[in-house]
Amino acid sequence: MLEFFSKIMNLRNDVLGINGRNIELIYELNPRRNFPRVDDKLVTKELLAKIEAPTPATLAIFHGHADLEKLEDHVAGLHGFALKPAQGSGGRGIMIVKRDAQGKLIRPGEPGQPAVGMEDLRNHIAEILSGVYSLEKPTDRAFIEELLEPEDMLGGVSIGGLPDIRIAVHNGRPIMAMTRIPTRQSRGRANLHQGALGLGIDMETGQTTYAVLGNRNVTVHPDTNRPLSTLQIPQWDTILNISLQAAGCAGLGYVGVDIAVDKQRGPLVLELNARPGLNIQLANRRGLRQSLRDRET
Amino acid sequence: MRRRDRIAVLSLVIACYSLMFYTIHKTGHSISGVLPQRNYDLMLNMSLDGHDDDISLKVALPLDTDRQRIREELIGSPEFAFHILGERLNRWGIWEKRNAKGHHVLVYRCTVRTEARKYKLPAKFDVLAKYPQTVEPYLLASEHIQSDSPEIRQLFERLVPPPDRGDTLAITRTAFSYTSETIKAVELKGTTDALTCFRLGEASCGGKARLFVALCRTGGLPARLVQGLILKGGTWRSSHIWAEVWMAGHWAPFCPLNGYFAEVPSSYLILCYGDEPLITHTRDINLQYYFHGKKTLAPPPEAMRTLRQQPGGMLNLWATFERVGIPLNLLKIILMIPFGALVVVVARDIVGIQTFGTFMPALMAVAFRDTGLAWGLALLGAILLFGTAARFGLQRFRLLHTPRLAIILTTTVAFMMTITTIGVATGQVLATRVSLFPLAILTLTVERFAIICEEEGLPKALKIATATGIVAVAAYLPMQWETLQVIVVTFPETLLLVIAVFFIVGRWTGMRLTEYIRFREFIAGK
Repeated sequence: MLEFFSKIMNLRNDVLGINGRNIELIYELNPRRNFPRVDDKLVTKELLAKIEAPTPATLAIFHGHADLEKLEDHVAGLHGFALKPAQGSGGRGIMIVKRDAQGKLIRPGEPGQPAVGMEDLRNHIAEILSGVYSLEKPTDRAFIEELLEPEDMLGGVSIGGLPDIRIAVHNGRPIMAMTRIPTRQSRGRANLHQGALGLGIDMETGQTTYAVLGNRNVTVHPDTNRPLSTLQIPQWDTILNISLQAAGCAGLGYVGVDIAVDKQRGPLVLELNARPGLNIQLANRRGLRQSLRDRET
Repeated sequence: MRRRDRIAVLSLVIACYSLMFYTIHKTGHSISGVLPQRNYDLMLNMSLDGHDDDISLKVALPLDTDRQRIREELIGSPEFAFHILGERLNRWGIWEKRNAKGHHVLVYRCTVRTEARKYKLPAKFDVLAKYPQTVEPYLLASEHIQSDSPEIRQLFERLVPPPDRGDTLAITRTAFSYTSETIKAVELKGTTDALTCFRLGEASCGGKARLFVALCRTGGLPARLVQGLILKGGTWRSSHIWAEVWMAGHWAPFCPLNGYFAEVPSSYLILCYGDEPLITHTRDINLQYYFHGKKTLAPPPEAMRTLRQQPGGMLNLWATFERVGIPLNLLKIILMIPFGALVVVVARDIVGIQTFGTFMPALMAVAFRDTGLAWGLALLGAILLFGTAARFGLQRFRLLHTPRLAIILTTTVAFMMTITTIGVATGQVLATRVSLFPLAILTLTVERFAIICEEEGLPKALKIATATGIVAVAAYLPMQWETLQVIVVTFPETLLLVIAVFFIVGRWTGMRLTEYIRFREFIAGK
């Protein structure tokens, strides 16, 4: 009983809740005027390009319905692409499209890998433009991005989708990290609340530690039921450096940097987040308050 | 909390109490002088059928005394001539019509405010040989109060021992305890006179009161019958009878049925003194009647008066609202919304409950005020169900976002109209009350519900919908709490305290309660 209470007290002292994150980190360190830099992926990419941080290539931008006319030309030569809303958050509205062996466009992440026609793409872009996926803004832009190919280490454990690495950067220092592995349930998306698997990362070595699925720690992969062994994140030092570089251009004191490692191009910054999630603590079995305290001493 | 947060909270609290103090000081020198009082909107509804004859009705109307104030009397009976007949203490409403044909409904309405009264009886007050002339008639026997009958005289002599027969207090005590306790209380129809009451050994209010009056009169005390109503919310038919005894220049009330000795509760409303029927009417008109009472709160007239005299009169919200004709009820709704928001704030940031829309639950609670809790929740569920069905039906058309929302909004409006129409047709009270439902916000809720359904599954969507309903109910309770309403309407500055609480919650960095569940792995493992 006593032990239970002392654990609750530890939880209170070590783990950061939503209120604590908002008041102590976001309101304190992230000026509202800099939010647009990270809330719009296209704006972020421009900023990153300026400081020469590597990002996936933008192949086409749709500012309005008029731009839809050129959709077919844009898509014609591509072996695959990612269609994204500029202001979507939490992976909402992202459509991954690939060409199958017959040259037909399909959605590999979805169950049954359904075919995608031009009409579907047009509709999806129209939805993005009218702000369906950008809750706070009435309109949005859509863009087509090059399709990244996961490198072998992380790609090996993910089911249909691109794993990424989330690094929480506090005042110019990375304080916590995890890698997010798409699962069948997350339908190819690397977002924890959509069912992706989160693996905590040891900041020193770049090796994965614990795993979280939903709010529970797990030891096996939910799709394969195979035990999760320790993985070495490739190019860990490069990833840390890129994350600092990217965080620096955001003008935010507390920022989540999402990085994917492409088979050919290596680590690329996908996006920045001004309100990074809290389950990274579960993936590392370590509270953010605790990490922040340790950093100070 | 930082220093500036503490200062902000402290200033709000101080501002609130200073304003309260100022209001009390300016208005009535006491809180009770400004607190709104319980009033009743009383209605007497009479329906009758005419057969081409002359019809006349004589109805006892509530009396305006220092204990009960009658205001805003209204007569609703366009085809009948109406006048008020004052007759000694009583007021009779007279409705008349020549050659009345067909069905008619006569309505009398008023706003009444009654007070409870408790009399301190003189320790020693002798039965007088001679009473003032105005009181003399109340010593005489009457048709239903047979104080001169030998049986009642014998009863009196048996109950009251000779030494007590000159003591007013002893006589009333004995007569009261006999009629209140010895006579059994039963429901009896029609008029039970004093003698019958004694012979049966049981009676309802009228028989008990008549026997009580008879015993007092036998003992030489002026006493009279009081007829009236017991006010309550709702509809009723029966009237009530109690009694009054003249003592040292005052008429003190006694109710043998409900055991009020020298006191009268605030719910008692006097319609008529004496034994005349409350309603007399032409025969064969199939008269049906009922009383209807509705509790309301109104500012005390004294406070209104003081404040009206004040230049500006900014202090008093009622006076201001009354001047522009906004009803107190609307004022109450508006002022209680922040308390609904308070519940939402606590639910979201301290408990950590996820709801649709930030203040959706508070707005739902406002709507519940009109529909009632059960109907409100049922409607909310029905709209969600209907709207979501409509939304999924629309999916195959692949409409743009805004027109799609507009269609859901329109179908929701149509659905509400249908419900209203069905309500009117089936006589449900709900009918006209759905107007306050925040339709536009409900439409967005439907959209959010559908999106969550699609992206995170129906169970998740239902979970949030249920949470929204629960928080709405939780917001409804304080908003409906009358004591709180009274305080807020009287002292709108209490809203400063609410803001202070918002400040405290707004700077609260602790874990939300549900986060202990979210992070339970930290407790369970290791």
